[in-house]
Amino acid sequence: MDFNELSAQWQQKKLPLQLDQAMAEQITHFEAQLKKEKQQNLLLAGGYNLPHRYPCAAIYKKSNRCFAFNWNLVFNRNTDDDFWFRQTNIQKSMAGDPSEFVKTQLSRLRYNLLVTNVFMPLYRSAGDFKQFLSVCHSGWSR
Amino acid sequence: MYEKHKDRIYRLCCILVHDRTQTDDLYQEVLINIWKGIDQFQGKAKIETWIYRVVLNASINFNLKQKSRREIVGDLPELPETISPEKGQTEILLEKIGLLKSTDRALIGLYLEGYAYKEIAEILGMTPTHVGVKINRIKTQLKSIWNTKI
Repeated sequence: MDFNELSAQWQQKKLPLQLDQAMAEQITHFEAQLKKEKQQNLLLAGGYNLPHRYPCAAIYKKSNRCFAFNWNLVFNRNTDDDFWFRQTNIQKSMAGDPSEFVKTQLSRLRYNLLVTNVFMPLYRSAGDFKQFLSVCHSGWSR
Repeated sequence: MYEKHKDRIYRLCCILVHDRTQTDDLYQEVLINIWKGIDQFQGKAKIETWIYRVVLNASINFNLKQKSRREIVGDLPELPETISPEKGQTEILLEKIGLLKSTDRALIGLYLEGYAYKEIAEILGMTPTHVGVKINRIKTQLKSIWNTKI
């Protein structure tokens, strides 16, 4: 057992970014849906997950109300966010200022959205990215 | 910075938690913590040292959270194995490292990344001599379990 050789082999291991075919198809489908929702001005913000880059969270508005949706559920992921959403019937809604809502909800959704927005240039849905990021940041850096 | 360190961070996450899904989740947690903490990084240590401390701290919190969650919801049923190819050396290595104590996993993870004892000592808050002794013990342990079937 040669540890130098093992170490060299180990260092070749890369972050996997390849998706399997089924997941790639699902993602294409949901991306199309998100795009449509954005065009209809229903979608306020959304994020992609790392390392697989699937849509993981979205914040919608409808008739002056907002709600958050966790796409992780769609992909059957076991994250703390899923756990929280299951306990709160998947969606939460409230009336009022969307930015307040975003701040509140992002205390739970933050990791999906933050990672996406900061590390990957894949943010495709926010109407005003700069403002959104600033709201997120003030919420996170208490 | 992300591009430069992403693979190393990922490999460490592989070593520090138990399965693939958890690795992905820990990986994200680490990136958030780096993002949140980068303003406080004062440049006293090398950036790599700081990053891998963040990884280790995140893994400790992550494992604690997983443990308390298991206590609340119970263990989820095992998913069937979808692929069973011939295991390569790195897969076997990862499997065997999974049998080690968490502190030993961190040590061997950094060693496999090619860090010198001095650097590992700095990251883990140990003396280089202590790191050397521990690494040798871990190597011996891995050799002894290498051919054991799990």
